Amino acid sequence: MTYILTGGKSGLGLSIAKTLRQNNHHVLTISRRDDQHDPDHLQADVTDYSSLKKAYNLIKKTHTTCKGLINCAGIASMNLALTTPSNITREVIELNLIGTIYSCQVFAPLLIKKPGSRIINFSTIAVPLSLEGESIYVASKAGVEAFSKVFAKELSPFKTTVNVIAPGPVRTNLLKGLSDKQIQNVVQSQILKTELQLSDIDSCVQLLLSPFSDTLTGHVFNVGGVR
Amino acid sequence: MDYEKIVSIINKVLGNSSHQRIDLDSHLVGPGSEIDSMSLVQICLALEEEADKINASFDWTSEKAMSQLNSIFKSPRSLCDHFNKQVERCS
Repeated sequence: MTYILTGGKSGLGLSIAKTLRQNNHHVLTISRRDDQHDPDHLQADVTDYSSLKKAYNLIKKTHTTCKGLINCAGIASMNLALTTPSNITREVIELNLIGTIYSCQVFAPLLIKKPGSRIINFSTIAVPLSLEGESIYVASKAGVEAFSKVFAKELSPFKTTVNVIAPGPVRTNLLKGLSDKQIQNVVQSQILKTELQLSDIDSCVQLLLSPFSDTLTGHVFNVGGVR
Repeated sequence: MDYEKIVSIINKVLGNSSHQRIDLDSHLVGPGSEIDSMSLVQICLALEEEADKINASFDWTSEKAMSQLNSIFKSPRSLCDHFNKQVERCS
């Protein structure tokens, strides 16, 4: 069984890919990065529909039974809306929201042929917390959550589940613009007042991919908990 | 692909789920259509497989798919015409 993972070359995506491979799953990573040494990596840009279509056609020829799609590709921009340059606004929305939607549109046909397939998208705890200084990022991820809830309904006849993992802060490159104090402030807003590790997100992914989650769809899972 | 073949593919996909057999000018979408969204996607997947067999591609996400007047899903006839145009472009 093959899992398609966008953004699987760094941060959360890389950690998830490693964990899945350790558990003997076949993972195909997709990112803008060119890695010709990795036979399980495809270079594609999630904001470019035709680029994803090419990846889809390649995968279709070689991996007819895809079990899941995990959309980790994303960027963050910690800035006030009023001071965010227009190109950054566009980039955040395009990669986080449009990229997730395109990926779902393009790869879902590979999944819906087999009942029990999974789609997992990523959001952030910053959405329910309406975190100041993250308005554009939050807008893009709120869009991912809304899209995923409706997409879950649209794919329900095919028994394909669609869920969102929206964790509290995890120390990856995505958070490099935040100070320790800012991270701790967000952690203190979680129900569990402990800083999340990459393994916590891996566990949530494992849970959603497992047969125990066959009937879980249309949910947003705030790892760490949100009040 | 000829018209007879596409009607046959559609009826095969629908199986017993449709009360009526589909003919060349049956409505695939909109009022009067007996095809649900799941069946429509399955028809598209079946056509994609047909395209694969001849090393062509079939993309059903065209802007025309959304048009009420000229939708590619208006009827098996329009869907077949759209399919053949796409296959021609690949050759």
